[in-house]
Amino acid sequence: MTSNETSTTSLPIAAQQAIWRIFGNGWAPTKQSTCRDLVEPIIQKQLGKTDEADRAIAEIRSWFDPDGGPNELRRDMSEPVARIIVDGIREALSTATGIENHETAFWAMGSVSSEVAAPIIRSSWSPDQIDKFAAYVLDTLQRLHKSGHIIDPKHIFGPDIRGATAHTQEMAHDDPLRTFHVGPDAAYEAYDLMYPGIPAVVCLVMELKPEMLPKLVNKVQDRLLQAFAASCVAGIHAASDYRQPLSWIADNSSTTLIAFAILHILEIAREREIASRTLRNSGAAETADLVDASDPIADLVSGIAALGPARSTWWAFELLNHTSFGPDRKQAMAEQVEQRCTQLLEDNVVNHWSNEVTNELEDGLRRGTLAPRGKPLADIAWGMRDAQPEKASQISRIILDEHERRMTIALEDDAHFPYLAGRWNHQDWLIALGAAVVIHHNDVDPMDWAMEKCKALPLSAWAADEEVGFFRAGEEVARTQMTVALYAVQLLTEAGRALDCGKLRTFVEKVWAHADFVRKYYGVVGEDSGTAAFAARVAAGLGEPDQAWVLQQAYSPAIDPQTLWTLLDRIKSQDNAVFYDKTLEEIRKIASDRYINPGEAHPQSAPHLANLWVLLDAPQEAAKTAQVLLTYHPSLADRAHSIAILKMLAFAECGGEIEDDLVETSRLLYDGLWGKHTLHHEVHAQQEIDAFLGWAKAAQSQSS
Amino acid sequence: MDNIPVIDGGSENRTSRMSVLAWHPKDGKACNLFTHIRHRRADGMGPWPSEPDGVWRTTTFPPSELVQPGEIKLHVMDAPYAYCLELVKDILDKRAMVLEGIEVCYALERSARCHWAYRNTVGMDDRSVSSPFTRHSAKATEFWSLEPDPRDYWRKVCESYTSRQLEDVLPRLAFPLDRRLDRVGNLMISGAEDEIDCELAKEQTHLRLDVNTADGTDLPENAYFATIWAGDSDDDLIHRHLAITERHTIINVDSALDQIGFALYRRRDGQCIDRWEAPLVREINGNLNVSSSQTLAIHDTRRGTTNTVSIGDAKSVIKVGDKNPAALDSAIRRETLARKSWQQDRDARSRRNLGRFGPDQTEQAIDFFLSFLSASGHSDGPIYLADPYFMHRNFDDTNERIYSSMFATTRGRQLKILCGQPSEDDWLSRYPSILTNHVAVRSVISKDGNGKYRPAFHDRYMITPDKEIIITHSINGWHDHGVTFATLSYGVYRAEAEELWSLDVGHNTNGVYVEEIKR
Repeated sequence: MTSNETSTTSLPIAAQQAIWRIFGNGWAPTKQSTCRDLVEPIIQKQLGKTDEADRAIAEIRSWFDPDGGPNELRRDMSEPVARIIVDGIREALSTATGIENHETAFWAMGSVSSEVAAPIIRSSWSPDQIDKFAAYVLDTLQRLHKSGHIIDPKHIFGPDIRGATAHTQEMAHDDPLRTFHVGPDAAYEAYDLMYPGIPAVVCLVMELKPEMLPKLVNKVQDRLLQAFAASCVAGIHAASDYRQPLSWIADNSSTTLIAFAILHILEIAREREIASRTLRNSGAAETADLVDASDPIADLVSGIAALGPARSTWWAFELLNHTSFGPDRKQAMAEQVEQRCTQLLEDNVVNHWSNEVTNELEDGLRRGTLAPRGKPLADIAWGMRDAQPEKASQISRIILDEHERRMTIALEDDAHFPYLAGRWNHQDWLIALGAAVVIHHNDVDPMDWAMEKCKALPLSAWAADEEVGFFRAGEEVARTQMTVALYAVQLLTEAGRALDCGKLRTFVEKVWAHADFVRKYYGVVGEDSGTAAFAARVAAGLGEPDQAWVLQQAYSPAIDPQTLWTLLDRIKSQDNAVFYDKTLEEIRKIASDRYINPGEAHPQSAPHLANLWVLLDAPQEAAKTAQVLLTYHPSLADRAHSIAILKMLAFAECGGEIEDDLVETSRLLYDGLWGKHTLHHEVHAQQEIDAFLGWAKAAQSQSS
Repeated sequence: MDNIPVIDGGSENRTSRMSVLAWHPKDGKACNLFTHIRHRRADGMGPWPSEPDGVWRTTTFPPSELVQPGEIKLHVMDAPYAYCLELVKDILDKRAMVLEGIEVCYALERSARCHWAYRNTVGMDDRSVSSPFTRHSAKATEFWSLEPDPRDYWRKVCESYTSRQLEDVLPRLAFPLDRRLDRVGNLMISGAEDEIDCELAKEQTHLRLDVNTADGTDLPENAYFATIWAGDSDDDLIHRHLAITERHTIINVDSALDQIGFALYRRRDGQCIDRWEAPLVREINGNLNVSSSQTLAIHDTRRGTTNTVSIGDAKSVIKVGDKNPAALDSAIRRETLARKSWQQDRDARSRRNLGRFGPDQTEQAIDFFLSFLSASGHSDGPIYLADPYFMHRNFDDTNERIYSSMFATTRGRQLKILCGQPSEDDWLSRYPSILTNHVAVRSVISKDGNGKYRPAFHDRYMITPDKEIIITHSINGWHDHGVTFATLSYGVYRAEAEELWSLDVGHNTNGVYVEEIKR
């Protein structure tokens, strides 16, 4: 293909071959002239001061958008001019002088969209020409980086943008997966921050020669550019084949390149998971020809394992930490990564135990941003606690040391201690700590351990008055310690150790007293009840609560609706119906007296109150509470709150304890929530409410 | 205990924390700067009580220009209240207490004054001493000291520390001695009124008052009554008197509220035993408009009016030497007035109502300027900057930095800039749109007698939704001439700014031509 065949221009060939120089010089940041300025001198240099040159100059000038910038072409001329530029550079590549000695060809190609340039080059350039051009681009980028011409300084104003640049530059070695995971986004945001032209050329080369990414990473040490290039490659090859990125995970590869490889393979695994789920949801059978038998995560972790014990341990934690980010529930991929990494770490612990590996275990936990990924280590330690108790204890100590370190920081800086937030990785960390306490403090009761820790915290009324921040940090730490102790108790019981049930019940009362004390000072409801409710589950499950104790707790003002419901629900689920029936009526009276009062019907308690009234078979109370919540909190648009009210109304209707106007409200709420569509996670709630309403209808028809 | 007639209530089952802030001069006797004994029900200490051990724990103030290492110490001890009362008796008798082997001198008046310290998050600065207890008001018994030396010393100490440094230590004294200079040298006993727990909360459409006994028993019948109030934008919406008959009282409200409060009274003697008041919003802004002691006249040349600017300056201190017990009240009154005067000066400085910067202090000037912009971060409404030479084309790196920082700081709000130059050089377009898409610049010009275009306004100022600030020099002249910022107490320029901004763009209105400078 030649320019004459494809171009719509009548320009002489000599003029056409000079066009790329106009754009190359006009787009170069070091040159002051614009493309429009350069039309005349460059064409006259090529054609002389002739009429032909004047005509050519006039035509070329007409290509530019009169309302646009000095380098901006008319929309309809973008593609024809791109062809002329690409052809011009190809011609220049074949000349004796070539393009290597200056940056003109680089900037000229930068003026062309890679989407336009790539197909032209593929169809009209030889592989040798493409290789030559790609090598030239890398050399030029290296030069530009050294001379500080990747990021356009005139755009680097303000904290946000500078932050984006600094982020990729400074964090790469601490947390490369996270750095480069956000890298492409930052790179796209920073697209306009680079000198115009650079993103287009990088995209073009990565599209034509993706295998050159390792070279680019080695040659150009600009994190933003590296991340941008990697995002281009990932965009091209996200389909399925991960052999190339897998090959980048090698002894001699840089951290950056390995990070790109991991991110690339994780992306492929994620897409496969989505495709597989879609297939399953569509009802199609997962036939062998539809499902790729290879396992990207297994191959990825095997690749990492080949890096040697210490380095592979480091990368295993990097991988574990990286897959902590995302939804609150553990996804299949995170599960798979954890399983594979646990195997890898176990192999390193069992077969390659050394100071280096120990250091990497400590460092790996420390790098856990959301929560330390201690669960794999705890699993390994738990598995070897009988066979290799010393090593198991040593691993547990590493886990507990990290916990102490984070605790000290939180207490010194009165910082949030976030491990009770309920995310899966938080919960995993607490379970890991529970296991570590059991293994490392073999001769100490976990509850005593937690009580001792809590006593040392600033949790008195004096502390609450004097230093709110420290008190808050202290109480979060205290709840964490108590939760860890409860997990440890569960683990011990599972392991067959005898449990002092009375002691457990006393400990659980302490957990509730703590929650109540904090609530009195800060009025927090809901969020903090998680620990109290967990304690209720453990007490009901393992504490052998008798009727007197349950009644005593129900009478205590320290127990909130969520905790009371959890306690009773768990007892009920243990099929101890006789005990349950005996206490039910009395607890109903207690709860009715306490919670039916409008003052206690806090909106955040609504779902728990709904559960409680259903469990206590108290339709009257349910109707009253729903009425109170509707009266005092009508503006709350929260779906969970509305569902709770609806549940109470439906239950009251089912029990025949509802007034007509509330029936109407109930219908309106139902239609508002599920009139058109039911959200996946609300299906269960809807079914429960439908059942109540069904009973209500049946009762109505019977009575009529 | 006869010497302490004003301490009532039994000391049984009460636990206390005693905090002693002491000055340990290198070549003199240690003396008390403030001693605070707080006491409360022992069963109100929470689920993690520890036996009060009677052991002093000491924190040393960090050294400053004035304070040598170890010169000021805060000693804290937890002990049964009865034990602390014995210590008080000893202090009154011996005018000293031996603390960790060192004698700390006290110069206390023998007569004590009793007063109430209510929970109060509204006027904490001036009106009264607030309760040191989060959940309860307190009855205070205070032995005054009228010795001037510790007071003079503490005043200088406060000036030698930043507020932050003092905040690190003073919470454990549970008394804002940096704001209460009149109390230096005193000994105060604060007893929590904790037989009753009282709480007021604003929920979606109602106020809820909870009153409970500390031990969870039933409320004594007809023993308490309360007043509840609520308001919005300085309007009183609710002011209600209630008999407390139930644990929960609900009051419906049908308006937004920005302030709520209650007072709980004991019926048998009518005494208010708990009072609490809190703003629901605009807590920060509430502190910005308090005027201070001195004023500076600012002449508005355009309007021919004179307005005042609040500034602060150091004041002389009244010395109190009258030891006549009968004159105690008047002496306290004088000390209180002196403290208020000093406090107002200090507040004026800390509120940054005035900032003067020389040509060599451009960096500080920039910080000062940007802090005004940052401080208005949570307020709605546009920010106006009027600078006739804002579009000056020959600015250097410093100006560039000021502009970019200013644009970055104001992102998310409207920044309206009035300048007085024709737009010959549109340097604004050199900034990325991400920094300037909230910035609008209008050139407001008029012809002078020679037919040349000149700025149609003269003064430089900035208006945020919270403040008006006059700026003495255009930004491009700060590094040559320095700059002074002064907060204006009244809306001097807002009307002018809004009027200029409302003029038709591209038209001549009474000789004033307005042009929008576009990116």
